[in-house]
Amino acid sequence: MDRVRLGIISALAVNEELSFVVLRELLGVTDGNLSVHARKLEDAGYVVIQKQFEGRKPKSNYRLTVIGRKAFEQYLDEMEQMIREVRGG
Amino acid sequence: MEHQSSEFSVEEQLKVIRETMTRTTAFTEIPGFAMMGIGLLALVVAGLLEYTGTSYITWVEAWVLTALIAILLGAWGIHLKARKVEKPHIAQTARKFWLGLAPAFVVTAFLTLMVLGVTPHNYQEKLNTYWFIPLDVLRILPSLWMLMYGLAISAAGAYSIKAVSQMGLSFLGIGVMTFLIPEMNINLMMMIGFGGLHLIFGWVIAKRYGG
Repeated sequence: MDRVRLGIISALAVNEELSFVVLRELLGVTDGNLSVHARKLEDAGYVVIQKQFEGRKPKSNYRLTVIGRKAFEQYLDEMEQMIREVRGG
Repeated sequence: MEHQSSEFSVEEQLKVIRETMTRTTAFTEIPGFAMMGIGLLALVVAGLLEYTGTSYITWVEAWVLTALIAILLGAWGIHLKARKVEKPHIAQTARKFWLGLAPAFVVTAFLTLMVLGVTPHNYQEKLNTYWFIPLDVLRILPSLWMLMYGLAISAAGAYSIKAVSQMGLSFLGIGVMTFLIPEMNINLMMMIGFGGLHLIFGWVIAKRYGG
C-alpha cells in the first residue's frame, strides 16, 4: 500500500473525522497529492468524503467507512501474523 | 489492502502507522480556546501592571500567579477537549505533553529564583523583609520566561501539529528580541509574547483542530 494512503487510513482509524487541511498538515503532503490518494481510497470504498461550506469556503471532511476499518484491521492482523512467523522462524 | 508491497518494507509500513497515529492523537488534545483564554489573561495582566505601575516585586508575584492560573486553564482545556473527542488514549498523550512541559517549568522556576538572588540561606529573609529587585534584574525575567517557554513548547510540539512548534519558535524569537533590546517596555513584550502569541496560535488551533 502507498505511504500516503496508509497514513490517511491510520489517521482516520483513530479519529472519527478529519478535515482536508488537518490531513494535509499531518501527512506533510501537497493538496494535489492528498486529493489523488483520498480519491483512490474513496473509489475503493474505504473512506467517505463529505463536502460542505463553512461560510463561503468549501471544506472537505474525511471519514473511514466500515469497510475501510475492517480492511485496516485485517491488514494489521496480517502484518502481525507475518511478524510472528518471521520471529518464530 | 495489500501488505506485501514493493514500495516500502513491513517495518516502514508499521512506522508510518505508528507515527501517523501518534501525531494525530497528539494534536487533538491541544486546547485552542484555552490557549486564547491564557492569552487574554496575559493581556489583561500586562495592561493592568502597565497602567498601575506597581512595584517590581508585585510585578513578579502577579506573573507567577498568572502562570499558575494559566497552567490550570491549560489543563482544564485539555481535559475538556479530550472529553469532547471521547478517546481514552488522549489522556495518555496529554500526560506525555505535560511531562514534556513540566521539566522546563521547574527549571524556569529555579532560574527565576536564581536571577532574583534567592538562595536556600536567604529565602526566609527575602520573604520577611521588603524585597528590593533592581530594574536590571527585572528586565531579564520576561526574556528568560519567553525563551524557556518557547523551548518547552518547541520540544513538546515536536510530535504535534506545526502550529505548536511555530508558536514555540515565535516565543524564542520574541524572547531573544526582548533580551537584545533592553530598553523595550517589558509589559509590552509580555503582552506581545504571552498575550498575542497565545491568542493568535490559540485561534488557529481552535479553528483548524476542533476547539
